[in-house]
Parts: sequence; structure tokens; C-alpha cells
Amino acid sequence: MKFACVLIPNFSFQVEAQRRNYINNEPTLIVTTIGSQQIVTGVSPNLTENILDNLLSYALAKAGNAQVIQSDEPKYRYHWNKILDDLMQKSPLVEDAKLGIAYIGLKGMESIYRGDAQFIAALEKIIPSHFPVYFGIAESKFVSYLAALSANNRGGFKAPQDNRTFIAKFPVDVLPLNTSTIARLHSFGLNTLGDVSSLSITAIQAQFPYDGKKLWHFVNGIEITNFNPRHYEETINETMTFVDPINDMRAMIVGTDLLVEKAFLNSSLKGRFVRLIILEAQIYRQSNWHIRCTFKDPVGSANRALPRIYTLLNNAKLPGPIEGLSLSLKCLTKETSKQINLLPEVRRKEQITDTVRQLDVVLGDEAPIFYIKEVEPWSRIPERRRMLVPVAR
Amino acid sequence: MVSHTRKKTNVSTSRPLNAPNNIKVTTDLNGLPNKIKILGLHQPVKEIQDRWRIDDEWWREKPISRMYYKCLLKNFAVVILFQDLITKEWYKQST
Repeated sequence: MKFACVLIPNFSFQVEAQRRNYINNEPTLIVTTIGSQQIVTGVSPNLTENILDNLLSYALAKAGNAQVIQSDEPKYRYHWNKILDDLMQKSPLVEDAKLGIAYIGLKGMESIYRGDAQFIAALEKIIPSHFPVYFGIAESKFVSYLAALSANNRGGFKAPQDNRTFIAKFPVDVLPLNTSTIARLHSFGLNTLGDVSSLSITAIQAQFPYDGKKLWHFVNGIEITNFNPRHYEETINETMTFVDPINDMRAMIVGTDLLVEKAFLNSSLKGRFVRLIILEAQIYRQSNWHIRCTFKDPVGSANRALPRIYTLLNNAKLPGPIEGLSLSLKCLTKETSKQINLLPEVRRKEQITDTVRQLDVVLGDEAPIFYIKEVEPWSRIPERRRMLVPVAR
Repeated sequence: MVSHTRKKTNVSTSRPLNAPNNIKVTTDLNGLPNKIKILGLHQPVKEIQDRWRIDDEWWREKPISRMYYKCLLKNFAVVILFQDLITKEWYKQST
């Protein structure tokens, strides 16, 4: 299968630059705190040094006058998810590799788009104009990423059939491996992918027991990583922006009221029910603040949803003035009505399934709930007698 | 209190109930358990209340040969242990 790579380099900085225009001209570092360390995850384009993914202390030594901004992962994720959702309108096979990098499976796209150029043109229209974006097409994910690195801004590049010569010119720094492996490659004098591909797999594995196999396949343009397309979740979003930042909970409640009413009037809801509502507030000069509102029984109208949201808001404390609000209706149910079953056994099973779905939403992941099933109750070996079988969802 | 292992629970696959867990056991000169390490603590065995042997699936690639011990610990907890007679490893088994 062919792949297209969508690359928005320095994604976190691009998102920050939308809200803070001034950082485009000033040396700026975006920093994430991991444990006790601060790692640079975004840099302004005027910082030429290669300081991404390095410690803040190292970055400040290279660019002492740079201003430091704390990263706002939920905000970047929110913008990136919006782009991924839009990409999924063009192809159902979209893999979220990391912030700013997505791979699209091109299986079956030829019949719709009559050529790769037309498909890339369709993708280019999706990406908001303020993002620089590069597209690459190749037979493997990694080579499509290299092709994207060779493309012009808002343009595409198709990797030539002869992969090896194309790949050979790139530096080893583009490999999606950890920094210590790349540093070690440099220390061996292996500075380009061509240098590494001239070696045998056994020689590479002898020096890199963990990454060696993957490394050899990467430099030879052979795909060994799995393609994990993203699961599409239908969501209804509504947003509002305040002219001036507000600092009053009453104003926020009025805004929430309007958003909830508007969201439930959305025609794509079509009488379906909602299990989860996320209300997010953009706080002035701070990271976004949000509340998750889950419903044991899915709700189908604003009147039923609002009392629970009011309770959560009344107990909440805002961290600062609000610039805007956004509301997402998630986990939309398929049913439009509920018929209670006459048979008590079936009803019990339905209740369990319903409760498990509710728990999944509350935990944000699949709840570890199992049935105990007898398999070989006569077995002398205790672990053979019964099995834990996950509850069907 | 038991600390959070931070392991992600895999909920999508079936698994056996009461699967044996590998544990550390110190034996006496006769090869009988006399100290068991449970939750990081060494618990002395007060009495072996019962013992039995299971030999099964000898026709398969991995035959089963276990010597089970029902042990009363000094803190009056009862645990069931077995020694895999092929690998000589000790396991704690819930039933």
C-alpha cells in the first residue's frame, strides 16, 4: 500500500504563533516539563540551532536571550485532532504518528482522485492556511516522511521508484529512533542513511541490539512498522469567543447555556443521545481549562444535560479570565429509544452492558470488567478450570 | 498499602482465572518450604498442612509436574504453593 505523509513541522510553535503573533519575530522556546526535566518541544524559526528535544539548560546556553513558554499539550492536541478529523473526510485510513505528523493510507484513493497530485491538492485545502505543510508520497511510511521533507511549503513530493538513492542522501538525524542511537551512529562516522545502508543487517544488529533491525529496514526503505489507522469518533463541537475576557462565573454559565442549546439543535444529532460532554475554556495567557461531564443515562436534550453541567460549574474555580468557550458532545449513542425487555435475564445483561459503557466513558479507557466462565471445571490444574472473559461492548 | 504498578491493564483478551504467580521460597534441607516472600516480606512457614502431586499432559511438549503444599504461615495465613518439578521454580496458586 502507498502512503502519504502530512508534515507540519514545529506544530506546537505554529499553534502558539496563532495566538501570540509577536513570537514569530522573537527567539522563543516552548518547553514541556517531564518529571524534573524541562525539554524543548518547540522553537521559533529564527533559532537556527538544532535544540529541539534537548534540555532547556542546553537550549538557553545556545540561545540565551530566548523567551520561554510553557507548552499547552491539550491545546496542541485539540488543534491537531481537528486537522486529523478533517483528513479523515478524505481517507478513512489516517494514522496519528505524533503532533504534526500523520500518515494516510492511499488504498483505493486512485479511483476517487485520479492521481496523487489531485489527492495532495485536496489535502492541501484542508490544512488551515496559517500552517506550513509538506506532503510526501511513497511505498512506506518512513520514505513518505522523507519525501515530505523534500517537498516545498504546501506542496507535495513523490519519492522515486529507486528508494535507495533517494534515502541515501538524508542525515541519520531524520530517523524516528531515540537520540542516543542517533548520537551513537554519528560517533561511528555514520552520518547519512546511505552510510548505514551500506552495512549488513548483522553488523548493525551487533552494535544496536534493540534498534538494529528497525534501523536497517528504515535505511533500506522497507516498512516493518504496523499501520494503525485512527478510530473515527463522531463529535459535535460548538465554540464562542468573548470580545473581552470575562472573569465572572455567571457570564460563563450564560455562555455554556447558549452552547449546549445550540449543540443539541445540531441536525447531525438526529435524535441520538449523548454520553459525554466536554466544556473547555480558553484562559487568558494560560493553558486551557476543561470539565468532563458524563451521564449514566445518555441525554438527548439540553434541558436534561444542563442541571448536571451547572452542578459541576458551581463547584469549579476558574484559573483566570476566559477568552472563549468550546463544547463537545461525544460518545453519541446509536439508539433513539429504549425498549425494556420482558425477560429478566436479558434485562440484566443489558443493564451490565450499559453500566460497562458508562464506566468506559468515566475512565476514559476500556474498564477492566470480566465475566468468569467455566472452561474445564473438572481439571486438576486450577488455572484451567475458569477463564476471565471481557464483557462484550 | 500496595503501590500502583502503573501497568496498563489489557482488558480486551481472555485470561485464565487463578493463574499461578512466581514467588521466592526458601527451602529446608529436605526441600520443603520454610520461608516465603510475599509482598516484599519473608513469612516463615509454621506448618505444612497438606501436600499432593499433579502429573499431567506428559504426552505434550510441555508436560505438567507439580508438587503442591498447603502451608500455614506464622501470621496464620494459609497459602497454596507448588514447585514446578521440571523447572524447579516456585509458584503461589489461588484456587
